[in-house]
Amino acid sequence: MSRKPESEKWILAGLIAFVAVLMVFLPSYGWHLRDYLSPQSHASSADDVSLKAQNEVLLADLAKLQAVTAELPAKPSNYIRAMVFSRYPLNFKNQMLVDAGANQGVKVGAAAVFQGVLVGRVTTVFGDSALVTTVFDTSFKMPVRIGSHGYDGLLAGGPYPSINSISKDALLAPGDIVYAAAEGVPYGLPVGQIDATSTSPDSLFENAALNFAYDANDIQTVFVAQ
Amino acid sequence: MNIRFIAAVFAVFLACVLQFWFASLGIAVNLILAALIALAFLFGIWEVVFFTVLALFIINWQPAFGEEIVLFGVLPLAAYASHRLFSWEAWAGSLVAIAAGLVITYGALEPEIFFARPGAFLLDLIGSLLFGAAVFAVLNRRGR
Repeated sequence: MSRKPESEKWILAGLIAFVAVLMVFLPSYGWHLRDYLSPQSHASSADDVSLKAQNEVLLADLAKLQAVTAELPAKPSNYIRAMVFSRYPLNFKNQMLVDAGANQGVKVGAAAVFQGVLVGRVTTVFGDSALVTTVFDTSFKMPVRIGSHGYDGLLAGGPYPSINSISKDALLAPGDIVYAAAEGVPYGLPVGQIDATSTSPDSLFENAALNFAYDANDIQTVFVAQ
Repeated sequence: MNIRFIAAVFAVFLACVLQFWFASLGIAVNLILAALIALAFLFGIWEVVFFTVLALFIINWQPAFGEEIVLFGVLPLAAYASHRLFSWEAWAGSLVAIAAGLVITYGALEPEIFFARPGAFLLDLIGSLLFGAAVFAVLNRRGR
């Protein structure tokens, strides 16, 4: 490698300092740049996603009315709309940064909702932003209930989220709605629908694969519980 | 600054575009890391630092530095150091370093993938090696 002229070194040092300052003090410029470099979401599918999500909400409402009406607390109304700033860019997690944080009353554990469907929970809160870990993250775990009978299960997140630890006596069918039954999350909030069922490897429980009414990559805004 | 430097910056942006595009299709490949490690075998330390900081600026997704960002910052510099210390044949060294970088990254961030989804890791390894080799081949030729 040849020796560089002094001026070239200074230019390079200036560039490094410039980008480093941007990264530390103005990270939102990096998020905007990544938006330009990322494939755009498919706007044409928005209506379809909305209809599917509404269907899930209605199914969840029906399930609640049939089986758990007496247990329902008052529906919380204090949600705030938050824009999705950026998403986790690698393949180890599934998180998104939203533009509401501690200053807006967001707390760790709060539910993030898209089209009336639970998409994740807040795991880290900053001043004016918060990280939402979605149901597609492998670390996501949450108790849920299924269908009008309210069978218990444990939602295990990941690229292909599933419901585990369901009683073998449960009568499940594709299309059954799955809804939240976890502390800190509004009871009955829909999560997805049963796609297919199987028996666990130890033959003690039923497992279920899930269908979702949305594509996590298309989500631009969410509602976050305050 | 010369055409080779600009081509390297372009390679970093191309790695970002391709990685984000594959991710949107559900295919996980670490092309950005592969490009940075390949560049570590072709450029001086300050260029490598610049490419790394540029990539970190693009991929950092939160107003804090996570463990992934620290790893992505350290691995290209470690690759550069290994190249200088061990005087490997650059093309072979870059491929070994990319493979080692991926093993370290997965080992640190998602070790269960080796047993739970070995196919996903192998796909990432092959894709990253191919992209890293392409970056190395193009820029190595431009430098001669």
